[in-house]
Amino acid sequence: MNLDEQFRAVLSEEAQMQTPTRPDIESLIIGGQARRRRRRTTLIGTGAAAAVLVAGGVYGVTQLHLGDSGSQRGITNQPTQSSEPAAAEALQAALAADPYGSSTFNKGPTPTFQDLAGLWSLRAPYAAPLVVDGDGDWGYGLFHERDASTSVLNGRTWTRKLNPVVCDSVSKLPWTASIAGDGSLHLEFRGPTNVCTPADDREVWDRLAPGPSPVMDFFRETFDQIDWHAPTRWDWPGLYVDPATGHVLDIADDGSYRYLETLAGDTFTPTSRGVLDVHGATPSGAISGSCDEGSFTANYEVGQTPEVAGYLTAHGAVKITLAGSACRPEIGASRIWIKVGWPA
Amino acid sequence: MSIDQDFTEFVAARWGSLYRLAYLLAGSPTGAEDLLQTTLEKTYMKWSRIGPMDHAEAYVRRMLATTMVSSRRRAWIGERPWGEVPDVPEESAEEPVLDRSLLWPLVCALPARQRAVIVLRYYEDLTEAQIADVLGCAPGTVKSQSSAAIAAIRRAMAAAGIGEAVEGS
Repeated sequence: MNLDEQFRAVLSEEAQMQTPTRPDIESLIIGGQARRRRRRTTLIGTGAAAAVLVAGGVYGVTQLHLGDSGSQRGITNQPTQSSEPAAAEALQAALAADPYGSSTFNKGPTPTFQDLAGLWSLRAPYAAPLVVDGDGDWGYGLFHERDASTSVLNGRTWTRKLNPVVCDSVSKLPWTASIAGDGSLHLEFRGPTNVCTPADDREVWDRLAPGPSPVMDFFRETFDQIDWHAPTRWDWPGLYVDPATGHVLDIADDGSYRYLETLAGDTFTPTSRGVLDVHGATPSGAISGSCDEGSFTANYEVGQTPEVAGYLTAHGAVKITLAGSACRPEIGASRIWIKVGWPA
Repeated sequence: MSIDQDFTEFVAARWGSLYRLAYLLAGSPTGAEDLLQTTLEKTYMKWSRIGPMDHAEAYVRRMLATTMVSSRRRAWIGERPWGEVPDVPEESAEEPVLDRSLLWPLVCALPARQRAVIVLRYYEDLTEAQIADVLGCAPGTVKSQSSAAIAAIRRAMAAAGIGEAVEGS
């Protein structure tokens, strides 16, 4: 039996196994009527807004002619905007719009360390990675353990201690923390001095790993929109995530890397370590490296993920194709890595 | 007959088959109920137009798919990511016969749009062009989504130790 036939058989069998619940038709009708009312309200509102726009347009054109009579200037056609890709629309639908100014910014549930554990990306217009493990150790990256520090969660107050190496003017950052309806982590600064943090007094962090995650969905669904090209230059050190698997790659300044298959647990344990010859990487896209099991060579291309204004900044991406490797698991097993970085 | 009576009769008569399709699309009983509730509320809004159609049920079945794919916020909950699409042949080949309990979870784990393509193709028996019409995308996108879904499932099968025959085919 081929896979097509098996799909048919399995789907049909699975469907037949289901015992449908009884329909609550009354609630369907009530719900449908409510939708119709909302739609009418929206249409009336849209009509009123359109009327205002038309009136404004007429006024504007009149003023333009009055103020510019006899000139050669005219109204040029604006380029037609193409419709946004489905992935961007899905991301916009999944994430709350403009959360930074929300009056309900911290009305979500209080998080636990288990809720906080993982890799987070700061919502546009900012960009930064935040890593938290299951017992509250945190950092803006994985590899630089000297930069990591501890934190204390007391109710809704999450106080992150700062390592003096990273920030010598402040020792701790107290935030009010909550998990918003779209799954993002909302932090509102409560201390007297807010320095050494990537954003202002309000930060919105979107989860990347462990999933599921709308941002990772977006990355996966836009792989084919990335314009891959040879890297004339690529800044290797940084924190990377593979949207297909949720695996994380952490590359230090000297090229040494840690490969993590999971960010679950109280501590993050790499499943593989090695060294990338980042200084020997060629502009045409060749790089080599070594791990405990031996060495490898690879070709790589770089690109940038699409931006979704107000939701997600563009991220650097690198596609690695191994020519040969003795490393298990290997960094090339995850072929596309998204760099979760700080703004350039 | 009033619109409400007509709609009530339609739902009572078609609930079972609509629920089964919703279950396959959503991948869970609760997801199916949510999806069906939303879709039928939308159906009620337009019932004066949908009701007289010759193929009202077919229309509603398509609404189920579009509602599921467009409501990504619900769709991504519970999904697990899959890898990229490897270069594997799409042609049918002899596969090891799988138990329902093995293949169905793999279908459920697909991203929402890929799962919709599989369900519409193999349960609803729609062509690629028809699926593209339902999902509001290009036929090429349907093809790539289908390939990605099948590749991911083949890879999962291989990882589960039943893929040697698949890999070799």
